[in-house]
Amino acid sequence: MSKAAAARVFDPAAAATPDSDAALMRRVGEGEAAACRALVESHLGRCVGLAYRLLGDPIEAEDVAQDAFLRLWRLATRWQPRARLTTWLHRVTYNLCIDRLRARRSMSSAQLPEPGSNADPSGTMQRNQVARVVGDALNALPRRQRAAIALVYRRELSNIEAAEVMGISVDAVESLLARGRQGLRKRLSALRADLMGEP
Amino acid sequence: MERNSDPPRTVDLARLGQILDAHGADPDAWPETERDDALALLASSAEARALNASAARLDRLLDRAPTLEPSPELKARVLAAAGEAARPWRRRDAWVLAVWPFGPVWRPAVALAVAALLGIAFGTVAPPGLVGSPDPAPLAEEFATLAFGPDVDLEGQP
Repeated sequence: MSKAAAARVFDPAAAATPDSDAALMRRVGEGEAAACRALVESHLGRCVGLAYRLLGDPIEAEDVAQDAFLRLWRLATRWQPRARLTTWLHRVTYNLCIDRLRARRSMSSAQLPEPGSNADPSGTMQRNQVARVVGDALNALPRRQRAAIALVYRRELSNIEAAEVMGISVDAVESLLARGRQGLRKRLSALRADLMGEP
Repeated sequence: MERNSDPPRTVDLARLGQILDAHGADPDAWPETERDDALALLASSAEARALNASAARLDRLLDRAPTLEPSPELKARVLAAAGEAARPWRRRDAWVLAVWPFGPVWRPAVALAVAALLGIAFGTVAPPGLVGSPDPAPLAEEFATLAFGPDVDLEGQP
């Protein structure tokens, strides 16, 4: 789905305000199962997706998302509507990923998991190959450039929210995005043969 | 995008390239203050359209990046954890909210504790005359002396 098309789909998490999040969190704090399910349905996929784009490992991505939600549940009764819930969850997920990336800094890139290994088995070989090549190109970006692209990917967060999550200025986010996209373009151009399925 | 405080800038090809690099080819993602200028440039410049087409190709490739959906097992684990986390809070909150529905409960608790400590400390260290006397007569005499002088007794006899 293109970014424009994705933006047209109604997204309750994107439409949420700090006050509506607070009301939802109050219900979660009271142990209301429907409220917990609503939060999981609207936010768990974002956490998993962000963690996967940052870590490249599906198992680690699920662990991080679960950890982020555990922290959210524990905070439910004390939730203060200072920021949007989605921004808070992205920030916690991002920080957990950064901790894991720091811990594995000594690991060589050859040891990192293949991002294409989780590709949809029903897709064509070329589609899988494109996904693998794009995933490799993303993983080859410097960590902060990859994070900036992952956060605003399909307009999940605005640049202002991404800046808040990363603890940097909006201009710095835009600079990271620009350098990240330039790096991707350069790398993907070099891999054009792979992308086109050429020998 | 939302930096409305920035002054509007004239969008030339170089600036359009920066916008496309930072935000991609979707005009909805571009800074509001520059969107109209950028769209006007796209309409008038073949070079601008080529830049936009290149950015759109990169967007389409990014859309093909591997994604991961949460597994049903993960959802089940997360929901189970919600139930466990909510249980002790639920019992405590029902009681706390009935007593203090105005916000964090630590504030009135600290105020009560400080007031109690001050009361105990004051009762322990204050002079006996201030704390109270078992016999009020001496204190009444002192007041009478202060009010009427040393030669007047309590019955008003000089």
